[in-house]
Amino acid sequence: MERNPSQNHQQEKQLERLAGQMRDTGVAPDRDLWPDIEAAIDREEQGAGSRASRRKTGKWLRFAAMAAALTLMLAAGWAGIRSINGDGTLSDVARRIENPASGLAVIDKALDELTLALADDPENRNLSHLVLMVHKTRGNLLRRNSENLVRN
Amino acid sequence: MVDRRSKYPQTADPGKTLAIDCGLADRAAEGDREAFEEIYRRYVNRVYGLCLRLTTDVTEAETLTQDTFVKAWLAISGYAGHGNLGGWLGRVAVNLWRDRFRASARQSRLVEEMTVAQRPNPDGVIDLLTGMDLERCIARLPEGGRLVFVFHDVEGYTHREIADLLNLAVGTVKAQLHRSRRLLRKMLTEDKEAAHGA
Repeated sequence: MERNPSQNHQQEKQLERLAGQMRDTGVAPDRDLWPDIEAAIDREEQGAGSRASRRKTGKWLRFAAMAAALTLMLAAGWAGIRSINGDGTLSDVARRIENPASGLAVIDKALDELTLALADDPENRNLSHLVLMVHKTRGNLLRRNSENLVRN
Repeated sequence: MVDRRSKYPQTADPGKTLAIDCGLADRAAEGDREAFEEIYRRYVNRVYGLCLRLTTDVTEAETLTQDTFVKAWLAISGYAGHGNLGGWLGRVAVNLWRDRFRASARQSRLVEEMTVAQRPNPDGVIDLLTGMDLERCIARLPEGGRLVFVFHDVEGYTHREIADLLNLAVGTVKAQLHRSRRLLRKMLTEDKEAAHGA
């Protein structure tokens, strides 16, 4: 059966009106989806919690590494100041590492913590810089210790 | 028995609706799960209806609805009262659907599908024009035409937005929309006549 343009226009308007209403009335799901949504939110939050915990661990690692490195730098700085004051660098450092094993243990602990922190945050340029400095300090102390031993 | 309806029924006053929605969204953004459940109760039919029209599959629509609300919970602080909350949730649903749709490589079939013969009416007869009849007829449209009709005539997207979303030319979107409307009118008329003749 042919429909005239007026009927078509009327039907199109009706279609448009119904389509617009459909958006707001929507369709009710056959079951309540909230329990599944709530369970999924719980899972998401637990995941986010463990991610946050890992971030906290990372922060702690970095803090520990910085603290260890700072202790070491302060000690080295103190030795440096003593040397500037004319007490004699080698003898002063030699006294500081009278027991080379304990001196090296401090440095190695700092290096261990820095390495761990760097593994957790490989892009951290400050940590990379600190690792280099501690390695350099370790080398200096070993060299001074061996020179001292040769002199004695 | 637990009453599953929203404590805040929808009102015809857009200002009041926006005020309620903003209040609920602010509370939800602070972690108030009850407020978020209220948002779910208020908008689940709207979101599920959209998901069902996009997927034409009950299981897929349920999954998409659930994922939409989980995503909305995580992103609710980004709502900030811009536009109505139902519309914002609809956008979240469409973004999730779009990612899956693109991943499923069904997109390339959108244009050709308009030439495919319409699917048979599973229910046999469609009565006079009601929202329910229209839902059934939309589900029978070829995929490309169905999506364009749902986005434009139901959800209010512009031709340009639909073209970007479905990666089609604006002209193709307009042509698909025109054919979809014509197909829907034909389906509704034929079914109505068949019902009268039966």
